Amino acid sequence: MYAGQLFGQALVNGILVSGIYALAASGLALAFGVVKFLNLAHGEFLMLAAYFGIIVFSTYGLDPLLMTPVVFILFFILGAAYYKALVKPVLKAGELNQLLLTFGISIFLQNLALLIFGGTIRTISVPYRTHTISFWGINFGTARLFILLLSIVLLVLLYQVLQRTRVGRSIRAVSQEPEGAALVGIDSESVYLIALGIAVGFASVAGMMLSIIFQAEPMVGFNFTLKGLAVVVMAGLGNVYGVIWASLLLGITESFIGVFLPNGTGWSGAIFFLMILGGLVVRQSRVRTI
Amino acid sequence: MNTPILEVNNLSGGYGALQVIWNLNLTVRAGEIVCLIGANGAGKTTTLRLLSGLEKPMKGEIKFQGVTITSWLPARIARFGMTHVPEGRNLFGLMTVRENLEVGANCSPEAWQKKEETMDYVYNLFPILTERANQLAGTLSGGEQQMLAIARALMTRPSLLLVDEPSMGLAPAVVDNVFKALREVRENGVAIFLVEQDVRRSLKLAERGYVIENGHIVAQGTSAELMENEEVKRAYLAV
Repeated sequence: MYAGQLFGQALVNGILVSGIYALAASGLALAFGVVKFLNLAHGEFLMLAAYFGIIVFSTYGLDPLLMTPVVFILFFILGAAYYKALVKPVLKAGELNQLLLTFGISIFLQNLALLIFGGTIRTISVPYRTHTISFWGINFGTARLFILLLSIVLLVLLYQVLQRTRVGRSIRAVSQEPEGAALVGIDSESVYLIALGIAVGFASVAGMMLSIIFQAEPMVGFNFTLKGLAVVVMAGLGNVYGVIWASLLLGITESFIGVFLPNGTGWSGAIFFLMILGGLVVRQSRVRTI
Repeated sequence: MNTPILEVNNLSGGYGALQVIWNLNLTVRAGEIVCLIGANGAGKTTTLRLLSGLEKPMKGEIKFQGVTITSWLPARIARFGMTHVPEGRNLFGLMTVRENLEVGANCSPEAWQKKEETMDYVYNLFPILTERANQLAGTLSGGEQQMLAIARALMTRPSLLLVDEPSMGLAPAVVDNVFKALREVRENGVAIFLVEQDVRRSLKLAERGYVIENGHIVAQGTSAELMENEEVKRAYLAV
């Protein structure tokens, strides 16, 4: 392989995975930007959805990507219930309690998954999983291409909803100025419920995707929480729009390090910690709104 | 027009254990402007925050349109027709002027239905906002922000508007504009409870007034009576 080709391939690989990162991170950013709530159990919803996809695929043979709308709705409801039952009671209790609670939930769900599904690595073997298309000597995994396209569609939808609909305006209003929103009659409770529903719904779609292009195991979710955090910190805490370029940066950096550094894949795990660090230094953790 | 729209009985409140307001009694009738005057730190803003539900009263009762609304949540109070234009304006800075107004109209199904009509009305009231319609609220001048805050509150179709220090930090010519608009709002049948440091101006605008000192109401009466009150003259009108 020529150097130029290698470079191109690394770039393409990075771009192809960034969609799934953006989906996972935008939910985290939404919860942070609107509800001012850092959900450390965010990744566990990805993990649960990944197993859900695996079970449905192995039982009914349904393609997980085609089930996106159904899974989104199911996990939206799960997210809303999660808000009502667990998040709402700690919202006024301060950040430390929120972190402890969501970290506890995260560990609980990981072990629950270990108990039910076991520790073995699982995947969904859709027929196009190993299929690739080539342009100019660079390979595009068909599954990854589908996943990137679906991510773009979903993110564009989210932005359209936030910008153009009544609900979207209310979400932005509560995010920017909670007191001002309350004073013109916006019920922040229902806005929080919807925001967390969307966040968990997006996580679930990312989870289905990861079961196709990566592997599902009980601990996979926390990995995505960390990557999501790196992206969210890079984008500016709570900034839903900045998530796109930060995800691209994370995906591409990871891919380049995997390709060009000796033993690179071992290093790529450290990248998002460096990105959190760099993000904090550069952005000074300014809390942004949407 | 003489039915009381807002009745406050023995209202006490403050922040945490700190009591700021003591046994407040006041009334606002439908369609009138009533002002609350007093020095810095007398409890004017706290009174408004108690009325609009931003702070929980320690005791006492707030009745609005005949219904006891004590300890209702702010959003519910706004939907019921009492809208607070806060001191800090609390605009949605990253949204355009038009979007701010649309969020105001989200308040109730009735307000949403009459959205276009109300929007025409507020654009008429503050023509400068028409020019700024697609500009982000955070980029407006102080005067324009005050106008937008009032306009956004009007989008909720309130029957009572609580206005906190509309003249704060504004040039006199702009204050004239804002006060002229408030008079027009009243002529449209919306009652106004106004908190102001510019005592002379507020008494000119209002029918009646209350004077608050250290969290207690110390004087009340028609504007003409208060203008002649020796205490008020000495403390607030500097004559």
